[in-house]
Amino acid sequence: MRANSYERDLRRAGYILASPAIFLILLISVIPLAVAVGLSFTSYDLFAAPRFVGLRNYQQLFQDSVFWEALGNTVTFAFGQVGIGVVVAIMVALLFNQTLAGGGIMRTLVYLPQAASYVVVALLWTMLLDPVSGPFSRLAQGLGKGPIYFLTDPGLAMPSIITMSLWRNLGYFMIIILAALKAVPRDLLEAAEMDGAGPVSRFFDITLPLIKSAVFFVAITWFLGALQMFTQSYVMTRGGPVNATKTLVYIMYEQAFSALNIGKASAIAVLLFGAVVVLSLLLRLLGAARQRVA
Amino acid sequence: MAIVRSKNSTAIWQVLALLLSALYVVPMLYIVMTSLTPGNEPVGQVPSHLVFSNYVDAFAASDFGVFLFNSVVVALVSTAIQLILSCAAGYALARLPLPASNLILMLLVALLVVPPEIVMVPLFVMTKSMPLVGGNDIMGQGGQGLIDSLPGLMVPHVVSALGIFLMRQFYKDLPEELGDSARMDGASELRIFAGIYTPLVIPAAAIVGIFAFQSAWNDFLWPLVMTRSMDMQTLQLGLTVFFQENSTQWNLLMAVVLTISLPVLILFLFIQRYFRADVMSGAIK
Repeated sequence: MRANSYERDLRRAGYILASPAIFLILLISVIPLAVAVGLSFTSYDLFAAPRFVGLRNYQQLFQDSVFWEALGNTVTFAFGQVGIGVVVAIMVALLFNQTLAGGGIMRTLVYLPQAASYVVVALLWTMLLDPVSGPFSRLAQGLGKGPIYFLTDPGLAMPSIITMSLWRNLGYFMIIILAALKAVPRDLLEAAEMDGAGPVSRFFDITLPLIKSAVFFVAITWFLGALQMFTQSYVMTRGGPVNATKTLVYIMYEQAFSALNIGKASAIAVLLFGAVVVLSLLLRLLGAARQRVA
Repeated sequence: MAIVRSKNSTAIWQVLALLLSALYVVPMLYIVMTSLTPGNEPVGQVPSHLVFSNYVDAFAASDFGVFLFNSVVVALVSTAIQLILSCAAGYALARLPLPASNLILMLLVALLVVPPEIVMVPLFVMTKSMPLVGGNDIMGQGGQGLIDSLPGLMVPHVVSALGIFLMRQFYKDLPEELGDSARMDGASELRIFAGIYTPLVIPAAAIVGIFAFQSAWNDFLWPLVMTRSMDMQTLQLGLTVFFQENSTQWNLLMAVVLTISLPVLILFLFIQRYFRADVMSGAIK
């Protein structure tokens, strides 16, 4: 009898404490996903009631060259930033894994831009990359070259945004890899050194296999984040020059709030969600084999 | 021999680390310098004298005072709500018998990787059609719902899968016996949660709180789509609008940039010792 009422108390407390959060999670994350799928099959302008149009939004997207450009830009941005970024993050983590004077402070400095918003970092870099007053362009002019139009040259705009994003995000991913490096047993490396293994072979034969799972984790989470790029393009280039920095989220925003084409915007969201699901399944598969990094 | 070599390589590492830090320090100092440059001098050069009134002028140049108020209210209120919800649900998942708790946990872990941008459009439609607010009827028609309102700006930030998930981990790390002895003394379940366990997770909850504050404070896309009037803009949005209308006033822009970044930077410096990889990559534990 007592045990029963005790059980009931526990259960009731569980319901009371958990339901508000679970309800809101369903309301702002799960249901919107379902709504996006539903709206992607409709024509909807926010005013008249949604009208079912089957797969038309998807068909139109696949025939739209701007969609393919945006897809290409998004993939370029993600592969560019993450491909370079993972290598740089490993190198910087190796550097900070050494005993350094002021290592803690320097690590914090590299990490700090992570706390700033994309708007702030984008404005900073817009200033730095200014063709007239920016230090990079002035340096080039000092060397007798013309001003460099980093953000208005179609060939330079995306590389500039990749560089700026890499600068901001490096610290976060570096720290995850650094934690994995710290877990590599020192005596293993020392034993290899005794046996005459050089630093390069020590890295590739011992360190890299041991931090592999952390590196995969970093690569996939970074890539997932990069697929959502919007703010940098909106602030720095407005998607230009000539669509050169328009991403999938950017055209989703345009479709929804400039063209009032909610159905098509939802179709883009569903496609993005598909990419996220595939990538996170990949992450889960790796996670099964992965030991904790810390 | 070995010692000489290691001394040399230590010096090389040190130099490389300093060069890398310079890549980060120089732009930050550049912001400070620009923010103090007089309006009639070119930016990017050491100013002839320092103009601290730029900070006052910047906030007078647009409605930055209003934007600051909006940002503070949105960030603080949504952080408070998210903390309470995360603690309550995290505790329930860690310590209380919940039906389908494994299913809920799987859902939370799955949601960790769903970026907020993906649900932006449907969430906008839903907040616009929320029944009985903003002039809407019971079917959610006729008005603008939560569009262009402070509660509307808070919507994506009041709860997060990551917050609940992290709080569950923190409560789980505490010994079960703590609650048992209080139960013997006749304490109610809610009292055990609020009075015994929760005070012990406050340092950990600070991490969740700062993540929540940062995501609300730094958010850009949601305020961009949610806001119609100038009165409802947040700092990130107002700054972008100001930049796109006055793109050459770098000294004023950088004064605002520095001011709006400081709160989060300071919070980060306070708690950075808690930023361990196991917390940041909590997603796949």
